[in-house]
Amino acid sequence: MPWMSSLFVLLLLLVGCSARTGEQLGACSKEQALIAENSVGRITSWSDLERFFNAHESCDDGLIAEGVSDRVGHLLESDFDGFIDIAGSASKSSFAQFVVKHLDESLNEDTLHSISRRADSCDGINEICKTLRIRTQAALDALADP
Amino acid sequence: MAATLLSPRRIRKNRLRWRRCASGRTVYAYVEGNPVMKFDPAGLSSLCFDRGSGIMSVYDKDGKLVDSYPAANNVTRSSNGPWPDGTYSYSHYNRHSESGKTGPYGSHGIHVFDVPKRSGMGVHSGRSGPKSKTLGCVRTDDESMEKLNKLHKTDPLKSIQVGGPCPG
Repeated sequence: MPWMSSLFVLLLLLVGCSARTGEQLGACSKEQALIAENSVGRITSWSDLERFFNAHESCDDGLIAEGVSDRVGHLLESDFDGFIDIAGSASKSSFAQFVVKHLDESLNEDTLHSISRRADSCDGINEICKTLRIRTQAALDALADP
Repeated sequence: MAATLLSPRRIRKNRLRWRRCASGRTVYAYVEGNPVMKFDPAGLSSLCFDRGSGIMSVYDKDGKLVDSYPAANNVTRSSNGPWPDGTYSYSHYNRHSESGKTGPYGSHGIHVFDVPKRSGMGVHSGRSGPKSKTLGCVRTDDESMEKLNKLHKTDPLKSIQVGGPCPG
């Protein structure tokens, strides 16, 4: 029964793939957290941040997450259009969601106002600008109401 | 002759100690590199963060209160939540020199603790001070972090108790 052995191999592959996915998205070990902690300060571009997201998403907590939010704020201030391009790519939707999630009230008020102005200027032209404007306003509201 | 009196375990321990010296880190940091003239009066210290009062206290090894600082654990809505109440062991210190006074961590680095099921839980300053929101960490002010770092050099932190109430 050659089809049975093929089915068995296919099942093994599926189990292997799901175990690997579980491992990748599972808890962040102490060693992984230390690597993520030392990497976050070196993020200076959207591609750096995307590499960080792919490697360390499971460690997105505490000071590591605070560092990511800080980098997201700086990148949206310095390269807003770069993010509009990323958000337009269907293959990068999970990364775009990660960026939007980190647009939060841990950022400085000045940074949030600056991003809000950029998002206002393209609201109505691009859907992601509307999302960024709403998200920024929510963060500013949370800052005003601690 | 003396070497024959040392066990292999002791020799390994000594070798590690000398390696640390060779790498520039003194094993006598707690007495500023001078174990003959100076001593460590308090031993290891610990922190206690009282959520209710917004005070973080530091104690010596005998539980005597050494200093207190303003602190908070206000977290963003999208975070994984505040630092869970409990007692946690010290993990490490990270300078994070990329962060300035109003940066995410302040100008005096972070003391990180081991918190099960959480990552990167630490004590730092930054932004507009303790009330500024974090994604899980306890935030104090820059001045307090500077004092805490000085203390940590002589009496290294060993743990933090989060939640309170803390002993007076």
